[in-house]
Amino acid sequence: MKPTISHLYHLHARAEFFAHHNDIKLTYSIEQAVDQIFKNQKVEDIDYNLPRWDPEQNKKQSDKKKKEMRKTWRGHVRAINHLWLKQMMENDKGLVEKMTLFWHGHFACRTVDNPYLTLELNSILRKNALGSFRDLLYGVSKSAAMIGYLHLRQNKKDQPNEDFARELCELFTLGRDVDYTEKDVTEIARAFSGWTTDLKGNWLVRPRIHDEGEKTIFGKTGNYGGEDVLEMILENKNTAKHIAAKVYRFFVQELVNEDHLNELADVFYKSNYDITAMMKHLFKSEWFYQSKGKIIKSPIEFMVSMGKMFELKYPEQKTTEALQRYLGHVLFDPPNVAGWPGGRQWIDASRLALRLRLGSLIINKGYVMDELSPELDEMITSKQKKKDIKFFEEVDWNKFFDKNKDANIFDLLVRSDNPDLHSKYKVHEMKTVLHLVSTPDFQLT
Amino acid sequence: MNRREFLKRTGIITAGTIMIPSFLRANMFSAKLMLSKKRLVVIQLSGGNDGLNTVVPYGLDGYYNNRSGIGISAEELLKIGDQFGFHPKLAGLHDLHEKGLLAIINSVGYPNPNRSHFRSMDIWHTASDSNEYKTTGWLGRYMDSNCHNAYEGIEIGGQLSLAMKGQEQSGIALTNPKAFYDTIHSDFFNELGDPVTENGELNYLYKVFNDTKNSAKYIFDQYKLKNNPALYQGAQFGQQLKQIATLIKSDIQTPVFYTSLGGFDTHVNQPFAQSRLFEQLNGGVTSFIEDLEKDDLMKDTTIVIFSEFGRRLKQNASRGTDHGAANVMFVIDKDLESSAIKQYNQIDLEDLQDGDPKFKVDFRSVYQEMLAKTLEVDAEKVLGKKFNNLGLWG
Repeated sequence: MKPTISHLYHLHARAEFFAHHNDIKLTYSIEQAVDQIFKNQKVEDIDYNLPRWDPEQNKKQSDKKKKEMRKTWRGHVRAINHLWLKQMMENDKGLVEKMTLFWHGHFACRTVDNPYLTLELNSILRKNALGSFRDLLYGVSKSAAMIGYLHLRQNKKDQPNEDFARELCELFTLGRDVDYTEKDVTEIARAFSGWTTDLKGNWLVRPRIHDEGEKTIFGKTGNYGGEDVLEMILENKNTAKHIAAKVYRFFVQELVNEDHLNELADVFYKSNYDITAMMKHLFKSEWFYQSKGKIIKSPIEFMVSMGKMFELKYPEQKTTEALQRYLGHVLFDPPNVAGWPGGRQWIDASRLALRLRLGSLIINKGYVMDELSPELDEMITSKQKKKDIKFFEEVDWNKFFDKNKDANIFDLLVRSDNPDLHSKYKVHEMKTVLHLVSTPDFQLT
Repeated sequence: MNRREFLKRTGIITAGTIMIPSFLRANMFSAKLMLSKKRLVVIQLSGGNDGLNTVVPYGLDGYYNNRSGIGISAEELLKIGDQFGFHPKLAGLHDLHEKGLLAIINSVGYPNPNRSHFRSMDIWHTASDSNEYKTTGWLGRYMDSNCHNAYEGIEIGGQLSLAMKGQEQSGIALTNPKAFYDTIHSDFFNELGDPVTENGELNYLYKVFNDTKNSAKYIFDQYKLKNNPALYQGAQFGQQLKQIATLIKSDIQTPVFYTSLGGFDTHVNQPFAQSRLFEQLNGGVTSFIEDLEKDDLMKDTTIVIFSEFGRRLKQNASRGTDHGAANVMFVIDKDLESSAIKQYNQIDLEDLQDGDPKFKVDFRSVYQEMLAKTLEVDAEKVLGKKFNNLGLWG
């Protein structure tokens, strides 16, 4: 299939965040365009210099010191959050960033209190973002972050804690109520008993609290350990299907087409969980190109794609923090282990109002148009919050129009096919852009 | 005949009440709220208020033993019988209780309590079990099945709480009706129509967009009608309640209001912090009730006050308390059953679980009754199951 420029806008918006018209190469085939995006995807960890931490020393600290330390730690996590956003915006390896963001929602884990765990888990997600799901699943299951978050440390031979076992099946692999029973959860918890990490965060199994007895899991009996369970779960094709469905809803559309989903799950399973194989298949499918404008951008996608479009230097940390908070998408702080519900749940009256204003707030200091009341969203104008928001730097409009000289400005910026708008906007001028970024249509990707 | 029945009979129940001709609105809806029996005003105390120092069980063994530094002496307390007393800064609430308007429900919580603020608050908001994750709130689900407009659930605050989010219909969060109106009303936004498309997501966005525009206008129009000169105590929290009162007095068709007072996470030097917060709570709520009483609107209003969890019985080393489980909850209403006003004696400082007083009353029992008695809807449909009936309204 020979792609049109509109297909390519769509591909870059979804696989990455955004690409300027002049940076997009028109190719002979979709395959080439997709392969091009996958080429040169280098994994770069978030480059944050954390001070060394001595856990032994920490034990001896007074309560007051510990409290101060927690505060410092939260500060580090906020700085890491900001850095990641910046990296998403400036890094030209958009695909790795996008996939890492996807896995961050899938293996949702709250790490806002601990920068060490934050970096550890993010690095695991990033390294395996386009690699093998098997490695990713093992990596996450053995991470100090998830072991702490889902109470694996409290899962002992005599006092089982089923938290991890349950979420492993329900959220991370098989999907809710698919091919496992309550009894399986209990038995899986036994298999994972003793999983913990040492003070440095290295995974290990403590033999004394590991249950060595026979377990019956998914109808099979044996002296299983956690890794055996992971293999049994990966053997089950429903794991591939569950992951593929999540990928589908994140990268294609909310409404799942069963045939297309099965196709995707097949590729994933047959490739032995090769994430790249699945993603390439997805981006090369014709049905992917019919999904244009059918996803509501997540707040992070909204901010990052804006940043890329207008080449914003991401502003003050306080600004990005406030926006994440108001829009309900704070990195490293998912609402729970199920992650952000996403889709229509991103939008309610107040958040839509803010998002409609946000475009112009970001690129034009809050004024949608001259004829409008300069009053901003009350969320931004109230005195308390004004302190949080430092406006963004001015957009270099000449540069923007230069980079998108031959583009149809509507097609470039807006993914909906709304006929009301489509005919209206062809002119390359700032006013057009300001209007477009202030439409409900702009919320879609 | 209530409003809903009227609309059904006259065949004009549609996707939004905005569609209703203005002469009908003027005739039908000017008197009072007709959507439900009463208005529900939810007040959230964020951070886990220490219930044991709110309604203090001074007569129970174990209170002073465990709280030698932060226990409030019996002389200072505003007594309710020989075992319990209100915190000295809660004179207004104490007074409401004496008058039979305020029910104290002690030992409220849920099985397998989670001491994390955010998880526990989620559980209270979604009314889920502790091992269950729901993405809609209990009031959001009420709105899903009973409301057509965002303005039917108004939160005074910067962000809409999960409690107010439904699948199809969520409430609206704002800090100031005028600013919110200004945000969403401009020539440009007014010109953006309602495109007919096959894209479900786009249609959804335009539905929310138009609903937001209509709601913001309606709320601001109502708000403008009423010049409310009342002076409120309770600092910013009092002003939040004043906005709610102003809207209620305007006859706005909003059955649910929501607002919060934060800062209850008192791990250090609790007595000072809690007193300061209680001054705001007490001042705000007292002013609010006085204000509504002036227009005889308290008879149509239920107020509920909750927090995500209580605190540990034993104080910690820094004159504070750590996260606990069961807690106290207040319901303020003119039609409460007098026997229900005496619920406070359900507390046991001997029977502890991990150092915390155990929960005896599932918080969803309280929701169930408010849904049924205040909002007059099928509570089971909203909550998904049935809970014990506390008989707060008899």
